[in-house]
Amino acid sequence: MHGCRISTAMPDYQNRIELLQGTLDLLILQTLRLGPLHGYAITQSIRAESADVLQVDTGSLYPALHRLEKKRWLKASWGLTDNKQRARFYELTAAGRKQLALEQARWVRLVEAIGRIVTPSVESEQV
Amino acid sequence: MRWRRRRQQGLEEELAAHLDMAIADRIERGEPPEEAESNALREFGNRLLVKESVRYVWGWQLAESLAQDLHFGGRVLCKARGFTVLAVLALSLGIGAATVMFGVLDGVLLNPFPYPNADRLVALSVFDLDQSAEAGRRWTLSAAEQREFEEGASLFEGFVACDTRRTLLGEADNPHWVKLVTVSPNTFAFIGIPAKLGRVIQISDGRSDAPPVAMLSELAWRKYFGADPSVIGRAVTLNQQQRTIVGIAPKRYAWWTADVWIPQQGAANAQAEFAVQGRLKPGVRIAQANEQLTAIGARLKSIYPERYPKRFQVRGVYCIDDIVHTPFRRTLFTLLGAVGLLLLIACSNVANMLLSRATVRQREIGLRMVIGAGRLRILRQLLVESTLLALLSTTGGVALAYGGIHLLPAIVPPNTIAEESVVDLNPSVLLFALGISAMTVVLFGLAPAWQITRRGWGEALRGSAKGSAGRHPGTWLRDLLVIAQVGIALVLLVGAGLLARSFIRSLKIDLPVNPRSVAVAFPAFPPNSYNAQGQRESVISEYVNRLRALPGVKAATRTSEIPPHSWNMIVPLDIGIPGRSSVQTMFHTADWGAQATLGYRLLAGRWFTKEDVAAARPLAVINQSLARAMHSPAEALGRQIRLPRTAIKDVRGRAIDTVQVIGVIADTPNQSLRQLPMPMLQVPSTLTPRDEWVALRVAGDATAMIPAMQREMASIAPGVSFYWIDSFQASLEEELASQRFALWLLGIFASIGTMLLITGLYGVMSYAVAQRTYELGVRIALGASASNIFKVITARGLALIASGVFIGAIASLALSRMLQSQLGDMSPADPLAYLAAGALLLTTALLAILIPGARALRISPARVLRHE
Repeated sequence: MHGCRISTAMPDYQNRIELLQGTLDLLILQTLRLGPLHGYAITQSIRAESADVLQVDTGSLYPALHRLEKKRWLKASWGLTDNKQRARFYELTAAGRKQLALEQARWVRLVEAIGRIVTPSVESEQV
Repeated sequence: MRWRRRRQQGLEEELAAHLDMAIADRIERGEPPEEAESNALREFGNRLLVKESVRYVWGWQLAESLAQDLHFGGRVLCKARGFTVLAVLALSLGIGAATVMFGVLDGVLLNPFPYPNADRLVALSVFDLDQSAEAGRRWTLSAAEQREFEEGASLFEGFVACDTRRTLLGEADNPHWVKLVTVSPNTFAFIGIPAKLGRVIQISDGRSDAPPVAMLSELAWRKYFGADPSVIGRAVTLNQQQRTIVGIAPKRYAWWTADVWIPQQGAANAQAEFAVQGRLKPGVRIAQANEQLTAIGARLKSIYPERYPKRFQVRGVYCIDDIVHTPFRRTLFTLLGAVGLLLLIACSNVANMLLSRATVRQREIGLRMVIGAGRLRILRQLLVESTLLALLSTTGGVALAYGGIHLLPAIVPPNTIAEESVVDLNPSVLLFALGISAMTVVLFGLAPAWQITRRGWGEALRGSAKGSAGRHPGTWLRDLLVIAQVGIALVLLVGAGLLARSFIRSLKIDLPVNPRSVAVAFPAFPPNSYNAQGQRESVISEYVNRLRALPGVKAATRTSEIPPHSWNMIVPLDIGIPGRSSVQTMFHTADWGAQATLGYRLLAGRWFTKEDVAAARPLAVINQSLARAMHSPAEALGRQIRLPRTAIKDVRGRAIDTVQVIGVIADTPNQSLRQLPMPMLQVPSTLTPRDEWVALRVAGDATAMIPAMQREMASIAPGVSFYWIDSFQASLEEELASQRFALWLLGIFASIGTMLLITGLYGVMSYAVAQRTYELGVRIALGASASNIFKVITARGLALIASGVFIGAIASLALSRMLQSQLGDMSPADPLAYLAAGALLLTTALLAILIPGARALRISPARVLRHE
């Protein structure tokens, strides 16, 4: 949608968003499924759940969060962390839950399709 | 706007919280606090970029960053206040001056008339090919000649004729002198002059039995009737005749600058002469038309041989060319050239300032690139800055142009432009000037980006941090601009100097008397009195005698000729030399006191005596130009000259057709100060009753005599007023006005140009000093003497000025030839003007480089080196 415009404006930076875009959205929605979290907690959660494989760049995370918020899949509110730190908490909206289901289904189909191409002998196996 | 700021703050806080939590986490995991912080920061990445991309997601990033750019650009311009003011001022002046001058040129020269197809209107004139165009031109045609042209000239759509004279409008108790133009009845329909009120003069008004009508110009209507619409249908007294006002012409329609138009009724007197204008058919070239006119002229010559010179041509002269005096036309073009140069100086000046700033700003821009600003973003920032600057200067330029265009026509000397001219802003020129200046600003405003791209930000940071002595890129361009500015300024100064010199010379033009010690007056008789035969002449004679008796008066006279030009009659004279065609000669009358009053210098023979005048002897004094046609002053003496029409009579009323030359006087300007004198012949004033001036000469200031002159007239002839009464100097002033006007404007342009040049030069030099502070500090520390430092700094400036002056002098030599027409007999290579302009430019330019030079001397090496 706006990828082309950004890439002329900020070439290095924007390419990374582009690569992560769909996936990062899914990861964020998935992470928030259990309740509201702030940005830092989201990175930590993704990192922990992926066993330190996925490290979300702040430069990608915050634009993504604000984008999802703008699409009204997330809503944000200020709150206090356990350490009494003021932070902005994101939570799924109803539309966000619907979107999560949609994205999950799309992800499964994508993985299946890619799986078929990458490992043809193994049929309909989930990763 | 506020919610935006709150949202920005929110984002700021959100990111700060993220960072805090990351640091806290790391410390908890056992990292030492400092390490934890730097690691967290590294992991976090470029916070500015994160913010920027979030803002991009918000969607108003483009507008936001543009607003940011504008805000920043505004701040940059405010901070560099001196630069901004100078640049805006320079460009505004350039734009304003160029637009105003072109507006005037367009309104006055290119398109002055409101009449449809005015560009095809020509005035018919007979030119004697053996004489100069001015001297050998006959403006008028008799009714019979006119008819011949009307019937024969098939290349014309038609002709109109008119005759102008001064007359009195209104009743005897409060009459006004007005310009009355008698027009052929077809004039209004043919020229396309509408009526603002009432109706125009129609063909039917020209029938000899038609009721007498008159039409007023808008100006006359306003001036004499208070713009009262009820004047239509009112009867007025015009030259003692009752006429009905039938219409008022619209404002711009001032055909022959008349106050009042009346129709020619019935057949014209065979003796009457008319100025005739025709309109060429579309597509007819003037040369073609002239051929046809001349052929008709040849036929006419066989009928009226005395009215045509031996070799002649009948030509149509474009009316615009006639009305706008040729010298003034050249003046306008000169001024247009001057403002063009001014605009050039302004643009190159601003370009130079922008280039200098570009180098100063390299560090800032390099820094912004290092912290991640995209190249395009920087370009946009610079573009916004330049656009702001361009906007400011165009606003200033338009304001100046608007002010100037309304001011200038007010100071344009009278009688130099067509009354019909309307001077207004010319949108296309305004756009052109705006375009040029905007282009300059934007082009050179982007220079920093260009330099950085060429050199890379690393070098930008390193290079300007130190201020090394090396040649910076773009230096040559700046040098070139300075040289160009010096050159152009010199051209302007030389032009102004030449005009000033010629003006000063024309102030002491070769007049036989001091114009301040001569007073001239033109008596105006009320129409209904002093009408008896010879009554007016005796009043004038008595008046002159009274003046002669006044204390302090050295001489007084009546004369029809007051140099440099007066209302006159030009007649073709048969000078009695076989094989020589008639000579177009100015015919004047003079009294025996004229030589003493006006100081005519006798080359041969004598002036009229009291007895010559009293007896109205058929004698003549001629000027040198006429004598030249008779080979020499000595040979001219005693020669009989035939007068073409028996217009003069002796005291007994007998017609006189020959006069004998008794004296030859040196030429005095008799057409204008700038034109060569034409042949002139004077006869005793008693020979012919003519409108006459009265002049007197005193030892001191003649204006002091004016009250006495008025008093004397009142005592001998109550009711007689003066159409004109002032010193001779005052009438010259009118003549000099056009030149004074050009001189003033060119002087103003030249001073502005020089001022711009000085600021530009000063800017470049101060910048050079600032740039080399470090190097100079080192030099001083190493023991360089003050004179050494001074030399280092000023050498470049001097070289630039010298090259500029050299180039400017060459350009001036080439260009000043175009000024020739305004310089009279002065050489356009007048050394004094060049020396003065060069000296003025050199001293001011030197000042502009000496101040930065002096500043260089005050550099404290300790501080400079410690700073490093």
